[in-house]
Amino acid sequence: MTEPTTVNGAVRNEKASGVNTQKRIKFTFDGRQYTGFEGDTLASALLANDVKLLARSFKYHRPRGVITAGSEEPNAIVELGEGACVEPNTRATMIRLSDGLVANSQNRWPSLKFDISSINNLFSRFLVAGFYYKTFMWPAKAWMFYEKIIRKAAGLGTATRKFDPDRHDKLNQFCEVLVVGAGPAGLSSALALAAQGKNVIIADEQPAPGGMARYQSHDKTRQWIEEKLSQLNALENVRILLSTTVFGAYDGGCYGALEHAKQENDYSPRLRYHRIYAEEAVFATGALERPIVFGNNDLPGVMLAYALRAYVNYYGVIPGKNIVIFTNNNSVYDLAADLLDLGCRVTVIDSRADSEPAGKIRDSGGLVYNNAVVADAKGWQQIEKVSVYQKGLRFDQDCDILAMSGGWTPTVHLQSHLGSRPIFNDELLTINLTELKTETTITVGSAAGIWDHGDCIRSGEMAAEGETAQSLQSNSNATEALYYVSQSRNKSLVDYQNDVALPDIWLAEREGYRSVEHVKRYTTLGMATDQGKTANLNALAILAQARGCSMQQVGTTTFRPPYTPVAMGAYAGRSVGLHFSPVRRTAIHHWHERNGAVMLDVGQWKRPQYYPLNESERLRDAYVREMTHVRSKVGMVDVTTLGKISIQGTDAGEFVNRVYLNRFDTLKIGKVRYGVMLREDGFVFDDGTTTRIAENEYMMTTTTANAASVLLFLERLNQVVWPELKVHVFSVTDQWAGIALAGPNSRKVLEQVVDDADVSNDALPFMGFLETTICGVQARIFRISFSGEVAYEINVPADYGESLWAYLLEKGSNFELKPYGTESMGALRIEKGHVVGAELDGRTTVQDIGFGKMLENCKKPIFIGQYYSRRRLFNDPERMQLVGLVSTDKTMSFKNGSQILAEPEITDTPVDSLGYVTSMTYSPERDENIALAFISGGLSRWEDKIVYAHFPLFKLTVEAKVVSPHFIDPQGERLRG
Amino acid sequence: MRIRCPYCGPRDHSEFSYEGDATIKRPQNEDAKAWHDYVYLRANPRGRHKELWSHVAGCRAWVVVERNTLTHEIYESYLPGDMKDD
Ligand SMILES: [Zn+2]
Repeated sequence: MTEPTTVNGAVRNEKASGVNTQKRIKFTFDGRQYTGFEGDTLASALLANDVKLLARSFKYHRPRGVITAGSEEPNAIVELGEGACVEPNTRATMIRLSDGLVANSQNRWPSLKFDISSINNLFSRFLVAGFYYKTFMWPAKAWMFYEKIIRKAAGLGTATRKFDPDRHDKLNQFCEVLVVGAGPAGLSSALALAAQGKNVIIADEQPAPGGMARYQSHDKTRQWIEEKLSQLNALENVRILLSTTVFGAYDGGCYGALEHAKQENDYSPRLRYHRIYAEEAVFATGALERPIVFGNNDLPGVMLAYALRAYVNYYGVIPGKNIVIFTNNNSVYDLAADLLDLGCRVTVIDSRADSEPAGKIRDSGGLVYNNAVVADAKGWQQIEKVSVYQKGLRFDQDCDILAMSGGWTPTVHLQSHLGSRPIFNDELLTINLTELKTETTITVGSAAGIWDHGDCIRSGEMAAEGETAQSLQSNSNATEALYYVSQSRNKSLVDYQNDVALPDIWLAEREGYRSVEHVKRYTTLGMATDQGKTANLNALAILAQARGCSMQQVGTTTFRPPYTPVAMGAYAGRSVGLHFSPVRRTAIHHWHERNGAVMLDVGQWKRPQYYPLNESERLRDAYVREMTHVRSKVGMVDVTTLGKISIQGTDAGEFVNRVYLNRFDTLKIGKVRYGVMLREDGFVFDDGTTTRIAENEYMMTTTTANAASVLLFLERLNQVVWPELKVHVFSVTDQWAGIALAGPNSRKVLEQVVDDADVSNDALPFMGFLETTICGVQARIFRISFSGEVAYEINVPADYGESLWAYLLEKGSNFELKPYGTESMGALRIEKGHVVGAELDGRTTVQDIGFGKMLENCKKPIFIGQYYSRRRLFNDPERMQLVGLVSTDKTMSFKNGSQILAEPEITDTPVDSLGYVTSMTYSPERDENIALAFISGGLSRWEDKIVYAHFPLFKLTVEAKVVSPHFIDPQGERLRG
Repeated sequence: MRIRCPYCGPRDHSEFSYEGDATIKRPQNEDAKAWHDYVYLRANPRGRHKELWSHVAGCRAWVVVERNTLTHEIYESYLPGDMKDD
């Protein structure tokens, strides 16, 4: 007999293999400092410090302690960390102890020992299944109010709203075989596969391999694990991922795995999300021990038998001296022997009439009661005694720990993710897969219903040969069908985490919820963060008994990923903050920044909105100043972000001709044409200009917003719809920097910068194109205008963007060239009545925007929208058409999205709207507030009439006169000058 | 899930953009029903289906992927020009 040794006030079994008693670790729980050892979990360290009360339950606020030693823990749920690092709802059984670790209990107020809401426990007979739904259903509005209070009282931890300071990472992994689980079956399988030369990844959620075998006291088993680990470590074709949970199995051999990567004093990311692509998978996922449902089976000090074995043999924690073990199977007798060896008092309460290993325990000084059950646990905040029921008699038995085992349930979640449906097996008395092998997966070890250590190893080796181990399945633990104790007098929990008790399931069944999926949703059984890993099978058995049917008839619920909770941060990886979405900067970006531009996000692009003169100049003053300057002198704007698509090939002309509504086959080399693109349903898709650069080369520009969708559409036409056309389309947006020069002085500036080209109105007229050089650099000059002024768009290779910008500024200084931003650019185009995305929102036709002539003139046999653009209803005069609005009161400006009515007041709702405002600005040239709008009947009905633009949200009404949308230079004389 | 691009080999599906039914044909005439079906009607088949996927974050090829809409199994993928009519 080994005497327990005392280390730092805590009793530890010196044979413990999982902790390093040479290295102490300080940590804090609920404000108190404790000491544990390297290798401890928070749960084992707290147990070692005799802290048994760790949490309050979800609904009834019952005191709760540690139940398990693994990831299925439903009770010991704590809040980990502080401040921005806080992580609510973490399982104390899975938290590796690290120096300075801080954890707090949750769902209690004011303290864990004295929790006011535990009064819920006294009223618990009213808080049955469906209570909230029934009580707060009516009146409907009251639910909104009650819900907040309920959520606060019944709940879990609170997530922080602060930015996560930890780093997380994502990576892709590829292998021939993924082995999930590094217990005896997984280790033997991985080794056998590796010996065949297979590229293997073996993953286990625990930080050390061995699975449940680690918790045994036999030296031989421990040596076997060590030996297999070192053999695997020596192999180059094997990767071992520890502390890594394979949480989901997806289509095409893709598996999601979460690695808790961060070690103490190490710069690894905290979490790593592995996307593992495996041709085949071996599931050696083991089995979970079931609790037994009896009175107060959630009292701190009650735990699963395997967990006690883990704490005693692996973590070296002996949490009690007087131990009762309640079982319906043989798997606990090794634990009883271990405990007797350590000098504990051991009493086994065995529900079975006879238990073969009992003799050995009795010989070693232990007590074994057969035909007996634990009816109730008793004690204040932790277990003090149990009430045993045997053959009609009840007696109390003192104890400080109660270990229970209700049998074992194979972990088949991943198989279930892939579509396998586990069913209850009457011989094994547990759920089991109907097929252990699919085309790409095989299930081995305890996950396959195999319990003996040697058989598990054998099944792993057989899997490497492609053989299933169906023959090794048996009820070798001689488990009896005991799921709940009918003699109990106290609350018997089925689902610990969601506080679902035995009567809740009976009530659901009485109220007609017969399907297991309905019972689950009505009682919330299995719906907590642990997904009922310890609860589901007991619940099925209770439901089957209540319905008087077999377990197979009840069926099972569907497991869905993830197996255990995955932090959002792991999915996000490095894609946070600035990296959430790519940032696109033009070649001139840094000049804008250096010169104080206010930058605006336009999709992924950053664009200069305006260039304030000084700190006090606001947007409105700035854009009015900038656009006034363009109209009187000259300005330049960065238009790099416009989509640029190169279209090349012998059929390029035909292709462009089919894409646009208007003709492009007649476009001469060196000319630009404005084009309108439709969708097949006849509505306008996008507009822009296209230039014929050479015989077989066109360059199309799109709006900034539609650049990607236009490109994708052209690619569809090119590759799928008209593959016979010899043409290639590709984006050159990033290859060219674009600068637009606009204003009466623009030609004078251009003359200063081109090397030796004639840019006179005759040589380069409106809609002309010139390929030339500036300072010897290739430059493409397009004479196009969206502002209504004489304007040029200059494209140079992107690398020269900023130098061209600076060169223009220098050479243009004599003509007072100044930069302008997107705000004034937008205002200039509104004054000109040029439509953009706000008007082309997918609901407008060419007739609506005043281009009906284009369609009338179109005689092309093939073009996009050829059929539906000719719908009769598109010519309906009642359709909303583009008009201009002028505010009759100079002090009143429009609001985008305003609804247009004929009356100044809304007297009754609903009211028919005549139309809506799409774009608004102040027009310096007219000294008026103007807007573009769509209005039913259009200009022909409303010209010079008064309408009202209503914006009810701000109680704003603007009286407006309807005018032509071309507020300036309607004949276009200015831009041709 | 991975999709095999005829140019790039098997790549993660996140590099692709789903672009709908590959079997629809743009009408060659002015038949109202043909145009209606082409623009508006899409079958929602159960089982084997020919789909268009664009390798947008790759080589930008459009790929026909034959996929089982029930099991998500991918049978084969090829360029639209290699598609045979059923
Ligand atoms: Zn590709």
